[in-house]
Amino acid sequence: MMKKLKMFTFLLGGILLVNCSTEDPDTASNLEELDVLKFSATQAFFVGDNRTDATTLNGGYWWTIYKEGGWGKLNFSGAQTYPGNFEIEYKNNQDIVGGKGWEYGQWNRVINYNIGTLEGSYKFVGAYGWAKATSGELIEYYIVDKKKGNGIPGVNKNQDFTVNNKNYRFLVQDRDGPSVEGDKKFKQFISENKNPNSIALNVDQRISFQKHAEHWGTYGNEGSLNNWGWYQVFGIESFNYNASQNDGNGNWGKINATIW
Amino acid sequence: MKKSTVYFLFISTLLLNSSCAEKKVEPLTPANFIFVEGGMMKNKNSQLYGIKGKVLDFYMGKYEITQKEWNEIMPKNPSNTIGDSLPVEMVTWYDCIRYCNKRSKKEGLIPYYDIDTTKDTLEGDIRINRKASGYRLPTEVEWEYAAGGGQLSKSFTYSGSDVIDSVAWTWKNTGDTILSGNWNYRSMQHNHCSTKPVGLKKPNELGFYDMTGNVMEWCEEWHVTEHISKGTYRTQRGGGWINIDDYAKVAHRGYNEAKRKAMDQGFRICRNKD
Repeated sequence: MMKKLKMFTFLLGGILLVNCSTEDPDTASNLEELDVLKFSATQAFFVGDNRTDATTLNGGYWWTIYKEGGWGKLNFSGAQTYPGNFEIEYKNNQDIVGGKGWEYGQWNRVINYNIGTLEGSYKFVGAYGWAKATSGELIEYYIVDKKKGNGIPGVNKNQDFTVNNKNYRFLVQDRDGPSVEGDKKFKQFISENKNPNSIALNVDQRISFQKHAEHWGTYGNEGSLNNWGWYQVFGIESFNYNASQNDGNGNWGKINATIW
Repeated sequence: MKKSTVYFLFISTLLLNSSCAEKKVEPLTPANFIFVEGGMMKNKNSQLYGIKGKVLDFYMGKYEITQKEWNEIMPKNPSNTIGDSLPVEMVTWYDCIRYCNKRSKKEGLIPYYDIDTTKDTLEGDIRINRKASGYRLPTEVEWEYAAGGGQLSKSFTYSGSDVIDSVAWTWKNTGDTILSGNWNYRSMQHNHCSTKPVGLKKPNELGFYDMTGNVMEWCEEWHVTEHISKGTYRTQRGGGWINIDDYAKVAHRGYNEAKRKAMDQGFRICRNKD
């Protein structure tokens, strides 16, 4: 009898010990109050050195700007007349990239644009953003309508295609992270206009995403791009200005464009 | 009153006092581990919610493995950001299971993994002794179950909250100032973002810290889908200090190349109940 009782008390103790082993989450709270830094878009937004990235809406459009080194200015002074208008001017940057568009992409979006001013040094003018392929691969995409020098580097898939009266190369590039997914590899899909000089100023232009998306899906080896839950914008990027590409402007540039 | 009844009450009282008054001195639960009572998934955000299947009981580390814990077992700290209480990072999946085995041996436990480096073209032929008492990585299901609050789940999106900042170190809150706007790694570099010491944020329903954010946590299985075959990617969960919030949700299934090191990638360990 005593032996059985000892066994019972041991088991009971074991159960009690197990039951008491987890912590009460309410007693271990050290929740921190975090300030949220808010930005408001003004008519002229100077890109500062300490805080170089901000997003909000202007004229109903989402915008983004990032700058590393030098100075840069994003201006919406024409947006009261044309809601999709923006102007970016910059100098001596290691990298500056910005533009106007939509917070979330669409695989079949049509971006209409008109470039009024484009001066100085730049790597690319066109559409860019992020999407996810059915392979699970995260894709950073560029549609390079205009470029100076080599533009965005990539490996030619030799699968040219035509859309919106523009003939494009399809380039791909593996990139080391970080990305929005973390410190992981990701891929770049690049549609590069083979005749960038054909994009004249003050002439309405169009980028129809559907054809690009279908082409990337067919020849990119990553399945279709099925998640467009990240931004999709039209803008400009200038980085690592090379003196050999000197166009008389030094590392200075400016764009004034309108999207709709 | 019979002698035996007095004895029973006495012993029970003793056990009750000793076990609950000092609940952290728990002989059955290893130090810094939490006993996870198994059961069906209760977190309604989980992909496993409503599925008839029961997660078995297990123990899981309360914190991500710190660099102090790593240095006690392994010869070299691979981390990008150095600090004893910071989670170890820049570890491959293979590094993690080597740590598990070495620590198991040091503590007299039976190693969970049998690593034969002569057979596999990837890196070693890994066999698993599922009954072993040693340390191991969690399975994806175990991780999701524990992160989702187990039987105490309140169905949060992130581990312990629907407000990610209250429970997680993310790209927005790990630097000099709070970042806003869209994700940009260069902004994070300028802001000196990095990993943070474990256990500073609010724990989840079961008492686990940092299951969302800080470092992504390697899990046991290969990541296999319709498009991805076995042999390249191992699963990892919870997101880290670099990725955007979508990848930090309890239900999100992350993965990376098994041999890849990353500065937002670490692990926490488990043990079988028996």
